[in-house]
Amino acid sequence: MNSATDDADRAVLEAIAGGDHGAIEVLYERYKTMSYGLALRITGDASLADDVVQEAFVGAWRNAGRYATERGSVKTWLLAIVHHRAIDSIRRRRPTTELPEHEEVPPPSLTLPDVWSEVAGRLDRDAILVALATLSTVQREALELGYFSGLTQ
Amino acid sequence: MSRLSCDQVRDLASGFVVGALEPVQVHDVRDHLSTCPEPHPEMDELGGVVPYLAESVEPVEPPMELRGRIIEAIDAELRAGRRTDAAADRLISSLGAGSTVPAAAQPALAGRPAPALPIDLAAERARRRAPLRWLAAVAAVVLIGALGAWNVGLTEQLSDARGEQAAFDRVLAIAQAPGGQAIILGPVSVGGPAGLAAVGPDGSFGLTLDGLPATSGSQVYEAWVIAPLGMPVPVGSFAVGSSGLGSLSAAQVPTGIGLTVGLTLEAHSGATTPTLPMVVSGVAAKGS
Repeated sequence: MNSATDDADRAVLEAIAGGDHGAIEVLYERYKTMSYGLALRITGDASLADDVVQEAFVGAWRNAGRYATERGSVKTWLLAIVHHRAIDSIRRRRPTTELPEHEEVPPPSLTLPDVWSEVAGRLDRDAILVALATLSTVQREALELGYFSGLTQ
Repeated sequence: MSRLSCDQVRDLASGFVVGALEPVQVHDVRDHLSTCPEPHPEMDELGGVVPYLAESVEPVEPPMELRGRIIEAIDAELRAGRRTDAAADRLISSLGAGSTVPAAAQPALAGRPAPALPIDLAAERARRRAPLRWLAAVAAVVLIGALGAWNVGLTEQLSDARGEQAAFDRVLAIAQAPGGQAIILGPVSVGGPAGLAAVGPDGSFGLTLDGLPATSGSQVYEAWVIAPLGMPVPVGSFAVGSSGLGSLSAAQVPTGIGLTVGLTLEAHSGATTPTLPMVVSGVAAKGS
């Protein structure tokens, strides 16, 4: 993610904090596919993922004024909210429902690319996947297990 | 003395940095890190990767209707926001401080009719200033004390809740101490309870609330402190009677920047995970 995109995201968040109702839609358009992909990966359930993304964007709208640039980019901040909501949702569900053992591949109709977020997200993903590959297998698996399922080793 | 060895902390490091540990484990790891003379570089190494895990996921197009659901939910929040102001007004009134707040310091929302949708941006900005009403309440209480009217004003109006006055004093003292953080607790539901909490740099904690539904039987309200990306840590519980007033003091709660404080209604004391939904919640602002 380049600094120009960071600056643009911060401007959007400032607009949200300032009461610009339309700005939350701009933020949603930019990060809906990344947010939904993360929520779906963690919950393994499209209905739960819907709820998670809804709660996350409402939470982002509610707390936009509290965003602090020193804590990272707007994208990192937003995805942290999505992650927190998603883990919370599966922990609430756990007593009655088994978590999926395997990640289900979404149907092609759900993976049609969104132009803006798809391009930006894809560029970052390639670099991130390379970086993750530098971790040891044990470290990566432990991190991913905890991050995507809320489970310890 | 830490209950965990360095090797045990290293084993728990990945779960710790992604917030996957149980609250008691989080406490134990934090306790170890705060006292261990040995370096734990694994925390920085693993923690540095966490923000990027989310971006390693394949993007997926959400359903078309989700955007509409989000906008509707925000509209509902806007409407609920007016009730937040009403809750703040109730506390100001109950503290006998309403008349001491200069009119110029009052947010302009009071008394305004609910605007018709589409969104009234002026009203929305006013809603976002709602926490100022709690700060106004705090400032008003301090002003009363300075004028020597503390005993007259508060004792009369809180005659059925003398303990709450002391609780409010404790919360203010914690919030006003160097490094203290004040947390304005707003209602999650429309017309719900509201109040104030504070976390001190030494882990001291205070909370006072107004408008809580009375508990029954073994029911208690449990307070939780949540660090950014961390898990909720229970800090104490209390029952509430017909007055709707509740308070809590605790020590050794998690500290740090950006803490969230929440309150849940639990069937029994001793809950280790919160029973959602939160009754009230708020995020810390650095104290003066």
